[in-house]
Parts: sequence; C-alpha cells; structure tokens
Amino acid sequence: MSDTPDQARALRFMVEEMRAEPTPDIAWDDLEQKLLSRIARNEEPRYVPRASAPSSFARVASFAVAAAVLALGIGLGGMSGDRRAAMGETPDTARAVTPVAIESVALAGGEAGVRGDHDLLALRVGDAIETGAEPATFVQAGSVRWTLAPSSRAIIRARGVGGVGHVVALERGSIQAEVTPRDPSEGLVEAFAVEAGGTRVAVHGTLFSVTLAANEVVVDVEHGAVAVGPVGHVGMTTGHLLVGPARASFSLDGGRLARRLSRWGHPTPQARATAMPVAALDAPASPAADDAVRGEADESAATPAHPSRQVAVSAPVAAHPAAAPGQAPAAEPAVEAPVAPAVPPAPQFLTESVIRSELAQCFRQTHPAGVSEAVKSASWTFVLSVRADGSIQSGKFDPPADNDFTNCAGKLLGRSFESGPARKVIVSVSFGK
Amino acid sequence: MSAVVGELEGGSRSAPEAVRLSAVTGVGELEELVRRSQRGDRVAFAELFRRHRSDVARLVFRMLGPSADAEDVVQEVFLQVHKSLGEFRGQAKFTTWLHRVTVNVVLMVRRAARSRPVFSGEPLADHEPDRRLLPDEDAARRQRLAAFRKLLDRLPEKKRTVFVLHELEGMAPADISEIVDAPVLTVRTRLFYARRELAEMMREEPTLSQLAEELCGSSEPQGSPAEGRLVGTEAT
Repeated sequence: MSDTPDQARALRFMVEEMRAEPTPDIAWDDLEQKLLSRIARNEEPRYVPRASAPSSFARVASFAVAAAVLALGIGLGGMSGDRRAAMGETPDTARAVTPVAIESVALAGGEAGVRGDHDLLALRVGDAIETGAEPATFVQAGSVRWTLAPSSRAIIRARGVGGVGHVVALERGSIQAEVTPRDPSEGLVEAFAVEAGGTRVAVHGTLFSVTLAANEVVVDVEHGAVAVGPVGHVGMTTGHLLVGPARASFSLDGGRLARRLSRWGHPTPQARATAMPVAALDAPASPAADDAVRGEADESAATPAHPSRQVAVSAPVAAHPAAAPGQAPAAEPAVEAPVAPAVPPAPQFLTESVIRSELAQCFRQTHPAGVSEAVKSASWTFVLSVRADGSIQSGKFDPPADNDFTNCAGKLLGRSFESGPARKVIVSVSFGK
Repeated sequence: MSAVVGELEGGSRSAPEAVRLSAVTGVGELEELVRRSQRGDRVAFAELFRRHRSDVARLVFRMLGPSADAEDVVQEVFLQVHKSLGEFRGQAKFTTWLHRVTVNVVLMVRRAARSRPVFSGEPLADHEPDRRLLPDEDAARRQRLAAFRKLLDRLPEKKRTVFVLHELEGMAPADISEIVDAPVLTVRTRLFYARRELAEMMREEPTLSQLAEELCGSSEPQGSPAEGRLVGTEAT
C-alpha cells in the first residue's frame, strides 16, 4: 500500500476512520421538494410570444433579415453540412427550430447568477436562441457564463455534463463567454465551444468573444487561451491557439486562413509582415506569447483536412482610427457583420482609487444616513490578493468588517481586472458620515 | 447490468456493505424506473432519487468533506441526472453512470470554490480552534480526520478522485475507469501514487506522524473501528 508496513497500517487506519464517519443528516423531504419543483420549473412549456402585426417597414426589414439569414444558412450549410452529417448530427436543424422564449429559462431568485441571467441547463440540444434589442446571458454556476449579443442567433449543439462540453453554434451576431479556469492537472478539457460555420472555437477557461461575420469569425480573447480549428473534433479541437489578450479572425472553413488583428480591429504590423510561427497546440501558454496565433504542430501528414500549419496572413486592411482608451472600440473594418457586435470592454486596471471608490460605494449602501445625528466612521486596512490573470483571489479587512459591507465589497470587487503579475494590494480606507 | 439497486437509509454503512446490500432489488425494476423517468414520469424519477440519494450524499460528503453544503450539491447532482437521463443508453450500469455524474458535479463545485474570491471579515474557519468540550478520544479522532482531510485535499484532483472512489467507496478499478473515463491501468497507477503521496504526507503531518508508531505497538489501537478491514491492496 505504501513504503513501509507501518505507514501502510497508518494509512489503512485513517481510511477506516474516514469510512466509519457518518454522513451528515440531510432533510431529504425538503430536498426532494426543492428538487422536484426545480425540475417542474425547467419543464414548463416553452413558447414564443406572439408578435403584434408588423408595420410595413417591419415587414420589409424582417424580409431583409430573413434573406440575410437564408444566405448565411446556405453558405454555412455548404461548408459544414457534410461534416455534421458524418458526425451523425442533424444537418442545420437550427433553421427549422423554433426559438426558445428566453423568459422561460430565467433563473429563479436565489439561484446562482445575477438577476436577469438565464439557466443554461434549462436549454436543450437543438434549442435556438434569438435576441432582439437586448442581449441574453446564460449561466451554469461555476462553469460558464455566456452572453448572446443583441440581434444574434445561436443553437445549442451539445449540453455538457458536470460543466464540461457545452457547444453553441453561432448563426448570427456575437457571443461573449467567460469560462471558469480549470485545474491544470485536468489537462486541456474543453469546457465550452462555439461553432461558427465550419470553425470551432474551444475554450479551456478564459474570457473571450466570438463574432460571426459574412465570411469569417472574429475571436477576441481577453485572458486565457482558446483553440480554433475545424468542427468535428469534439473535445480535442486542433488548429490555432490564441493566447489572450489577443484578437484574430479565422475563415469559416475550420480556420484555414487566420490573421491576427489588433485589439481594436486592425491587423497588427507583425501580422502584415510575416507569417506566424508554428507552435504545438499543447505548448504551455507563456505571457510572452501574448497576441500570437499559433498553429498546431505538424504531426498529421495523413490528415489533409486539417488547416494549414502556417497561418496565412491576408492583405492589410484599410487603416482605421484606434479607439481612445476607455472608449468602446470601433467596428472591425475588415469584417462586415450583419449586426454590429457587442465588443467587450477592456478589463479595468486595479488601482487604489478604484478600490477606494468601490468601498466608498459599499459604505454608503450599507451605512445609509439616517435621522440620527450620530457620526458613523470606520477605518480598515484592506488587503486584496490578485491572481496573474487579473481575477481576485481574496480580500480581507483588518479589523474585520461587518457582513453586509464585506459582501458588498465582494460583489463589487470580485471581478477580473487587467492581468499582470500576481500581487497583493494593501489599501487603508476611512469612511464617515 | 448487474443487480445494483438497493439502498439503505443512513449513510454510515461502509463500502463493502454497500456492495453486499446492493442486490436488494431486481435489475428489471431499476431499468423500468430509468425508462419511465426518461419518458418524463416524475413519480419514477422521485423513486430513483429516493433509492440512490444516500449513496450520492455519501460520495459527495467524502469528496467534499463536512464543510461543504452537501444538500445543495446533492440537489445539483439529481438535477443534472434528470437533465441528462435522456442521454443514458444503458451501456454502463446506472449506478456507474450516476457516480460519474456525481463526480463531475463535485469536481465542478470544487473548481468553482477554488476560483471564487473569498472575502472575509473574520478569520477563516480553518484557523478557528474547536473550543467545544469533547472527550479526549473523540477530540483526537476529529483532529486526525481533519488533518487527514487536509492531506487528501493536497492530492492532485485525479489521484484524489480515484483514491476516494476506491478506498472510501470500495469501488473496483474497472468501475472507476468508467467513471473517470480513463484506462484501468491508469486508475491503478493513480491509486498507487495517491497512496504513496498520502503516506509521505502523513509522515510530515504532526497530528498523524505518530500514528504509525502508535499502531506498531498495538494491533487494535484505541478509537479504531471495530474491525480492521484490508483496504484495496489488490489494486496495485
């Protein structure tokens, strides 16, 4: 069992003690009721609200949209239909699918996610989601959170088990997704993937967005890494590795053609000048590899269907003025998306003033001014631990703050900031009213 | 599919007992329950839940430890089972599939817990001394268990999962290989290294380092379970 009989005996003894430990009591009846009511909620009939009679303008507009969708469908079907048929998938059933009423999958109060989010697990394979003027966000707690931009359409291709294996086919518009980083010991597990035409963008734990344009897909990785390659290699997407922060566009034939873009939409000078270096897909992503699109190692001469090992660089596009810092980036000039994509804002820098401002907001919220003339004041030293990817690991008040204030700070500051070295930020704050 | 259906309420039974008790109900009855649940029969699903809830709770507890909110996780497991039941084709035993879903949900919960920022205004529970008055032996046992759980937590996730499934749940490597989707040989290898690493860590853990010596002098130490069963040495 282990190195020496004594150690083996000690380990065996501990195993026996653990086995003998009773399971905590569970209120089974309550649990059963909660479970069955959640199931009933998820099984409520889905319906599409009947639209009011369209105006003549709306009829013309809807005809134009339908034509665009049809044209897109023909293009995508030609590219990916054979492959999907070979995989036993229903070829582009999405267009025959009635969109799900997004209200029917809304998260109930008390469930994970923020107000207005929808339960990803309430969706079924084949469900189509269409957004109107508002985006729709779907969440599986602890696994993935993705937002379908306004005027976009997506189909659920596969629904994962245990937070792994969600696949969404993007038919129009843009998706932004945040996937919980996975333990490195699990290897490259594809927690979430977006298919756009014949191209698959697979994610292992990152914040990224995918925008389907007329004949390419634009992938913007805030942090983490995504693999981009042909559809059909479920769970082991091979092709290019895009390490965030980076932005690149890929052709819809599995990403045979790829070009790197600046975060604001231009091809970068390097991308215009040179072909990208080849690197193994599973090579560890280093910070130095930022803004690089890496091709898969050439190890499959017998698989001609795979994309080129070298990233082809397209001709430079027209110059485009860069957006000012803090301003929403301009639309991608080389990409004529049918709908303007919702480009995610750049992560905020974590500064002392940001922390003070958020904590001051919490103090105002949790210690409102009352009729009393008593003066309230408080001082803390706040220690915030930040991971290298910009996410917050922990925050601690010294002396301890009350629960409301601590929870508020957790909500406001427990998000991702600009990546950098893992660090601790220590701020002394004093508030009073 | 072998007859693995029965369940006793109360999660304190050991894994070998679980195997012995599992043949209470016929195979056909379970298959019928699964089929009816797949067709949307809520009564059948509720029956499936009642039969397997203790097994699931026990595995959740053993994988997550006592600090976790086991009820929520058990509920999440059965919600996941309900959603995925349509994809269960009966190629594996239902219990194996159920364990697989449970393990995946637990791993997801552990991942989420790791990535979630911890905002604390008070010292973490880990550092809180247990001030309750306990008989010496019980207190010592609790200390040992807490220390051992911490060591178990330090194992890499894959080795830890295999160790819990085999050593604590009493599953055979072949069944575990289906649950974790890895070859049997890989399961055995992970088990071997999990044991070795745990034994090494125990040597350096003050609460547990004396245990080997204490056990050396007495084949039946105080506070040990009534019968010292041999634990899964066949796996390596």
